[in-house]
Amino acid sequence: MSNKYWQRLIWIIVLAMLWQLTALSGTFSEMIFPGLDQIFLALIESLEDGVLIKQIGFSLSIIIQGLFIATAAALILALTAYFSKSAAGLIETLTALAHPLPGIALMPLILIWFGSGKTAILIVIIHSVLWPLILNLNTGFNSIPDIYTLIAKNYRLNKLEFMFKILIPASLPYFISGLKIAWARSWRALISAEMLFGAINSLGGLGWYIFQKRVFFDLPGVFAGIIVIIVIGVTVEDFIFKKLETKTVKKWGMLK
Amino acid sequence: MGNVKVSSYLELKNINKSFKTEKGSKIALNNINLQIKENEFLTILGPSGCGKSTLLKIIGGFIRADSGQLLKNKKELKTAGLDRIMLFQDFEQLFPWQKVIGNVSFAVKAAAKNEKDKLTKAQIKEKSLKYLSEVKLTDYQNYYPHQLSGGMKQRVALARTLAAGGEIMLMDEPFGSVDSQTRQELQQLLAHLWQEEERTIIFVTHAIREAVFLSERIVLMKNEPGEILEVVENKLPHPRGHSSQFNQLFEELQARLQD
Repeated sequence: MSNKYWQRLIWIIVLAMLWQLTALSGTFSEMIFPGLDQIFLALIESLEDGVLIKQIGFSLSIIIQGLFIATAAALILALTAYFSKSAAGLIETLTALAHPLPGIALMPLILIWFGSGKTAILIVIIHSVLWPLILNLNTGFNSIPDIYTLIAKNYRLNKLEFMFKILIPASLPYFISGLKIAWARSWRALISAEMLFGAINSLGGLGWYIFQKRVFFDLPGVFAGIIVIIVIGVTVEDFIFKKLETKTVKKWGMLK
Repeated sequence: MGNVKVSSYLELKNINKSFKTEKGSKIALNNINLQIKENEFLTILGPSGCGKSTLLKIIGGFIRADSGQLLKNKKELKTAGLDRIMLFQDFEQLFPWQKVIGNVSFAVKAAAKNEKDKLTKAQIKEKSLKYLSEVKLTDYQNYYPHQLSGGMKQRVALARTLAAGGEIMLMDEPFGSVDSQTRQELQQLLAHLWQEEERTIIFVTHAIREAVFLSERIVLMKNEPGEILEVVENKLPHPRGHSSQFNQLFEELQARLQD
């Protein structure tokens, strides 16, 4: 383990101890400030009876679908914008209008148009991912060295070959950083959408799980949900994206 | 030595090119006429701003002249193509996401597709390795470009240019960004390769020594406006060490460029 992770681990232990001491001191009621022991008991209980696992599965499956659809759409739109000036105007205008709009502001509308099911959550995720990803891809495509377009001409690459052999790999650093933003934004959007849209057949995802725990004033349960959200968020950012970078752009010397 | 045919092969006729600047239009090339023979090594030598790179880009088909013609075997050329492959100065010309061998096989594949040849993976690899061995980089086939020195990067780029299989290779000061020791090594390698392969090389440089060392004919250019001063034959025998004839030609060219 690298120094950075040791440091992080040590600080987590210190913060956890502070938390536990505060809880034990009795300054706050146990009802609103549960100790770590209670939180972990709640976490293990929920994991054991399978409720939490189901909710995690629900949340992850929706977010993966949303990310997949949005990434494919962003690639298609950004490539269209790269090759066609008139399409670029439209796509840039749409992005400029939609990008600053927080997904949560759209939720009442989505509720009316699409109801409160899975589709609604998916739309919120796609909205939160699509625009930043298009922006990053556009920047990436437009910042490839001019020499690559000369080479493409010289070696007679057609548009498709140019896309896959040059344009996409050359802008991969931007693509990955776009995906990171996309992940962070969609994870936030997902949790808030789940809280607002509620459950279908008792399945409502992690957001719904926390929301439900609050209704029953089960604070250890609320914290258990929060811990799961943190753990998944950190895992994806630190391991999946780090790994992706080490295996590609870092290995290629395109990112220091 | 390359088999130089006397008849004109590549021909530039009355080429003119201007660029728009803030103060109006600036003439980059003024009435350029030049005949290039098959399999010869030609350098275009001149100070910066004389339009030599622009001229090379016009030959490559990357930019169009305002007027005039570019002919190959009497047929007009209007676009870029694999018959005229450009070797750039910029280290960025290699693809960082491809290994050394991948960068070379990129050209092998492009050439095969252009010729409508179907090559198997093994054939592509074999061909790529052949060109890598010509630039003495077989041991580095699995390195990524960022792991190589500047001189090695240019050797990979040279292998890729050779691998494209074009009859004509265009070189835009390809050794301009490496140290002088490496530069000499690369010049020796290129002189050697030209003698082995049947290729026409048009090489742009502002270094007189480089032009004398490499080429059979030297096109002298001046700036403002970019024009051809004269074309000088270089009949020094290979390998060209620093002999008294070498220095004589060097000084002659220097004097003519300073006029």
